Amino acid sequence: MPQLQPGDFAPQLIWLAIIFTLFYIALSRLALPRIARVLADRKAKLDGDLSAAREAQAAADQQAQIYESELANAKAKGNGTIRSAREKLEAELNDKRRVLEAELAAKAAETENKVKAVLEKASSQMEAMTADVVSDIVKELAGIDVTENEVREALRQGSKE
Amino acid sequence: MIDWFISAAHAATQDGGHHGGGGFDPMHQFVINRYTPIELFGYDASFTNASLWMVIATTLVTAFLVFSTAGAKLVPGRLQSLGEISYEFVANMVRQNAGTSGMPYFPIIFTLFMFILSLNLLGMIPIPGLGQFTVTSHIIVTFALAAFVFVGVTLIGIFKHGFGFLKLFVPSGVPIALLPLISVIEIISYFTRPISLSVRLFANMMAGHTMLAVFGSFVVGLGVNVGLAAGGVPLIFMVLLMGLEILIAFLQAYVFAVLSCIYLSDSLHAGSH
Repeated sequence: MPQLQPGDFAPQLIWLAIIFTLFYIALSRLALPRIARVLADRKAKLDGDLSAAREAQAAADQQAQIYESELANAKAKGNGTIRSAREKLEAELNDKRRVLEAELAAKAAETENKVKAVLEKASSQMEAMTADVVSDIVKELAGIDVTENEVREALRQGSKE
Repeated sequence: MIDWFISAAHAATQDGGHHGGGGFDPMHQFVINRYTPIELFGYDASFTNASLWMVIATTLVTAFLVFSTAGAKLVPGRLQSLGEISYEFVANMVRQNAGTSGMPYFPIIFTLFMFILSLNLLGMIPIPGLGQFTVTSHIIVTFALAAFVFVGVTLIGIFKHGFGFLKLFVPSGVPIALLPLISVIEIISYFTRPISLSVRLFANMMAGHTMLAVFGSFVVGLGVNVGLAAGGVPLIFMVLLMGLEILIAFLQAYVFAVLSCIYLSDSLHAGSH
């Protein structure tokens, strides 16, 4: 077996030690720090991007909140305006209606009074005219002179019976 | 694979077309060749084919990881993604097995994993002019790595806990009567760690490559001696085995790294379990 030639051990071990040491120095001083730096850079970049994204997200959330609160404010304000306008309108309408109703009631009362007056006048005139006519008829027919008051009395009694 | 064919074909033609056995050696691929003989303080420090394959593998991995982050983008491309995946794969492995207190040792675990993985995988690819060689199929290499891990985690444990590190061998919640037996078993299992760790990797790599070489010799042997179609049968097996070997190459690197993490975790958290 060529592996068990003791004469080959010395050069094998010596060159293994030399080359392995050089390899270790090359890797630990040159190659590995470069890869470590690349990986660290990537990690830093990713972490930075992630935190930036998180910040942007927070800012967006805040903006959304502001927007929503403003929207709610505007809505409330609009609702208030509409309500107050309606209330004002209703109050105005009520006032006008009340005035109108009062006017109408006054006019109706006035008219009633007028009608009542006219009716009273008409009925008193009618009585007078009836009494007149009755006294004239009585005078013509019975030749009895009756006063107007007597006729009225009689008429009233007659209308009672 | 080509190299196995070449060596097998070489063996086959050396026999004059008759494969009589003995001409082809599936272990030949593990032979160490000295390219540049060097002597250092009386020791043989020759630059060998194993050294060259280690240089190629580590250079490729370093270049890949450095270029993958050149002009790194926030959204990674294919190459950058692959580099990041390998980083995070090992980082998660360390975090899950050794906890966050194990993270300071991430670079050494990553180096171990990449070293073994690149050598395992590169062993699957023949390079023109170089042939094919798997450094991790040598027990001395895997044992050195395992011993390094073993000594390292033991020193970390002693440094962190002092004598408290010995609690590792006295699991809590064990009846007093059983404690001597359990402690002995724990101590034995602790000291066999470097052996199991190194032999597992070495044996897997050697067995796989030997099997591929044997099947390669079948392809050439049957193809030359019986007929071209006859060589196709072991060739199909070989293709399937290549897939399996690539899986094993990854799996053994992963197992080595995970076990290193677990041993590290034992040292870091000794006495707290």
